Amino acid sequence: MDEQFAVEMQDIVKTFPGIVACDDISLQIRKGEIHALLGENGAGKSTLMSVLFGMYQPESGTIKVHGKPVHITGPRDATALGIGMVHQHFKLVECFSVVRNIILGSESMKNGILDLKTARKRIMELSDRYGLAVDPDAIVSDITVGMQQRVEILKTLYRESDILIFDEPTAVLTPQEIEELITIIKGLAAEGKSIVFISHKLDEISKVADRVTILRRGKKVATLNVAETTKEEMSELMVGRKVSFTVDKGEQQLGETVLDVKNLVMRSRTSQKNIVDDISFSVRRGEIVCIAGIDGNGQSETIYGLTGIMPIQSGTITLNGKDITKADVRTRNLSGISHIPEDRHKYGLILDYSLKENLILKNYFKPSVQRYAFINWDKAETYSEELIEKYDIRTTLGAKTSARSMSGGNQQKAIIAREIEENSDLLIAVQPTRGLDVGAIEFVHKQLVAQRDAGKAVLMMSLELDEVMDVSDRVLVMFEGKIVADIDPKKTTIQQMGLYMAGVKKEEQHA
Amino acid sequence: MLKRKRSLNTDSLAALSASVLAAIVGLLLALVILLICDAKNAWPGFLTLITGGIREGGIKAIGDILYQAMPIMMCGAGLAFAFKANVFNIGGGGQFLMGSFVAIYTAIKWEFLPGVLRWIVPLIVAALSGALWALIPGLLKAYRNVNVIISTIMMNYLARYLVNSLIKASIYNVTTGQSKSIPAAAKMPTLGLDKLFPGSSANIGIFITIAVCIIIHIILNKTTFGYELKACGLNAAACKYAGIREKRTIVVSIMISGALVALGGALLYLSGSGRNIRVYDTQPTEGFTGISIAILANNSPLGVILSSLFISFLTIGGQYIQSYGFVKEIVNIVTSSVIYLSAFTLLLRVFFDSAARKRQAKLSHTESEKGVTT
Ligand SMILES: Nc1ncnc2c1ncn2[C@@H]1O[C@H](COP(=O)(O)OP(=O)(O)OP(=O)(O)O)[C@@H](O)[C@H]1O
Ligand SMILES: [Mg+2]
Repeated sequence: MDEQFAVEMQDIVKTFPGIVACDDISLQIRKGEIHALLGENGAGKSTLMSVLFGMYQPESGTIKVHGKPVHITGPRDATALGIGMVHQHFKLVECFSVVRNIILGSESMKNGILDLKTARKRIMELSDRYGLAVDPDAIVSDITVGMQQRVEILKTLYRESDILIFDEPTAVLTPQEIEELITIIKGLAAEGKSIVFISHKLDEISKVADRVTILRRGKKVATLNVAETTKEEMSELMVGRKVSFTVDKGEQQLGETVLDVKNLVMRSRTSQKNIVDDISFSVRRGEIVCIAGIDGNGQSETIYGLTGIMPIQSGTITLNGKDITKADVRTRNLSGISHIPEDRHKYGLILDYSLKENLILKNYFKPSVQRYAFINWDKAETYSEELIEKYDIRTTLGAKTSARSMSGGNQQKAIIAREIEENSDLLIAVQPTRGLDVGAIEFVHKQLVAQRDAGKAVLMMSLELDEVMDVSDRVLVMFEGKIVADIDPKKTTIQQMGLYMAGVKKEEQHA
Repeated sequence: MLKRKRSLNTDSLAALSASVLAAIVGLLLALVILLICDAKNAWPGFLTLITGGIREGGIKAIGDILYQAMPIMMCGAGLAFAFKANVFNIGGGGQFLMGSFVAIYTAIKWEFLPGVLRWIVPLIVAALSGALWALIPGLLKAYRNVNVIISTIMMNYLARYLVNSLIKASIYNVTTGQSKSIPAAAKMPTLGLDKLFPGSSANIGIFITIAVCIIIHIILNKTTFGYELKACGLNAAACKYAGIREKRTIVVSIMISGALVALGGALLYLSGSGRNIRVYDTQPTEGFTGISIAILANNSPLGVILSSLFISFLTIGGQYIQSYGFVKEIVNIVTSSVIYLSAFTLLLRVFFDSAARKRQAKLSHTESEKGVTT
């Protein structure tokens, strides 16, 4: 009764300085199944898959592919064995066309000349067969994130991979794109491909996966049939305690206005179009206001305009009664803005700095850690250790862990800790829970509500509709640069929200 | 606390071993070149090279090593400072020349200064001139986003021809075709180093330079300004987000860099060793050697002390190889290949390291930003 698995990983151990990232993990992937990998931030999911893809060499353990013991020393070996990986941070050459990106590294030649024609034909065949719509001649920098991901998938299919690893593929996608991806993945499995799917979103896992393996702190906890389990069971196994999916909010105590935006207009650098088109709104103490909308309708730009990262065209921004329209970023921060940025690697962290250095990014010049222009590194260290403790940031070497080596979710927690500790009157939180596990999401939501209850103003931006509905007190829906609705989530359904977001429905007083 | 110190040490140990390895590769190439030129004398020649000529020159050679190290150490420290901010200052040549000219000019013309001010003031004015000279590419970068590499190279040519005409107009010695020599009163004190190392030109300048390296080290690692500067070098977007004035940081870092390089030029000519600025078309080599020194030191100011001493050691050793019948040109090829190859090897290593690290990071931390696509 020897079932042949596509992949068998047996007793894998992989350590990094200070931590056992994979502690004796065994994992079996059946042929043609979609196998989800679930676990807290830093549980070792990415590491385990990097071992399978040959990026890391395990200290011990064996790997079998299609029943044969193999030794994978690098991604080239993995590719040769039919293993493909879709990284969430895409690895595409921006200035190349889609076709050239796909064949890069496995170009076929005809009389010593690159044979683009045949390659293009094959790619189109693959694209039709799996429903991966791409424009083969488009330049990568011009296409959407969703299409870039499809290019990455085609890349693995072009190399005839039959074992596909997706590391948090949905974290960067819009809800619409996620639906498309799920259909694609199911199609791939139906064709007999074996799939590993890493995600923090339990709904997605329930929808797409056949089995799920749960990791906790480097150890395997269980492998379950998705059909026979529940969201609650999965999250409890993963975090080791019950997780609440609803956000507990007390009665709202509205205070005076903190942020007041009037007639804000922003233009893109390349076109004369208004990306943010004459919007006005305000946020008061004691409320969580959420900017919602389909990605690309001016939400991100609005935030960059408020925080001073992008210049604005016209309008006024007032914070606590003070006009900060022309103020620089530092002045805005000091006047009371904290900002959890959308793009954590670009803005939120200096990856080559240690965690400690990153945690003082907003207050290294304040008397708490600075004296006579010198930084007191001992104080910075103590402060960091407090934050690590309070916000449960999992590190390998404590305050001196390099930010780059931390798992994605823990990087996010570090930013959240830094910004909330600033104790500003206005907390701007953009996609605050992107990439976080359910336990951490619960924690962040609690923190946001705590800020609100402490009489702070919270301005959130999120693409997750559930989060928008659960956490916020008021939702501003943006469509094509305008605020088309200002709604109370308690009195609105997700369906109605969807209509506003699609621009089908408009509220009169805002038109 | 103890733990923190230890990890710091292992970090710098790794960097140091990389530099040492790079230097060894460079030396091996030197041996190969010597073998090709004259196999018989290659080995003794090589021994002389790697003993810094101390076997032949004795105590004088040690003084010469210190003297030679002084200007390039100062240049290396200045350039490393800019490199930390990711400002690739290739304008060392021009800044060095400006500093040299201004130092000689003030040393000759400002006779009214009393006592030690005769050399201290020229040093300060020279540093200021270097800062101003570097201000131009700094402003161009910060406010017009002009590539620093290109603008500083252009500034090198401007400096060369400007200094040539300024020398001709003011402090030209027609018979030698060089600038005039500085008066004895403006010479920097030797602090007894001339007695310790008879025959050499070693002077107070080496102490000033080492002190500057230590100060730069402290600025970079202990102060808020150093924190900002390195942050800008590592991630300019995050600096903007954090409210660090990156434009100001860029301008200040290249100004300090230019000031130090110019100071290097001033120290060289105020040593009064008989060297003067020649009026011709090429750039002073110190600006480029400084780049190698900074790279070899992995941009660490304390490392610059070691790497500049090493390169000076080779240069002096090289001078003594001539006694084995190697012509001067060969000697120059040998020493410069060691210098540049070691720097180059290290650069490659740094490059490979960061490429590997990026690759790993991309894999292990997949969830990241969206919208980085443009
Ligand atoms: N290159 C590395 N060097 C040092 N430590 C590392 C490295 N890569 C990962 N780690 C550590 O190994 C542990 C597991 O990390 P991994 O990235 O596999 O987590 P994950 O399960 O993917 O988490 P997340 O959901 O947050 O992405 C973490 O504690 C992380 O800090
Ligand atoms: Mg991960």
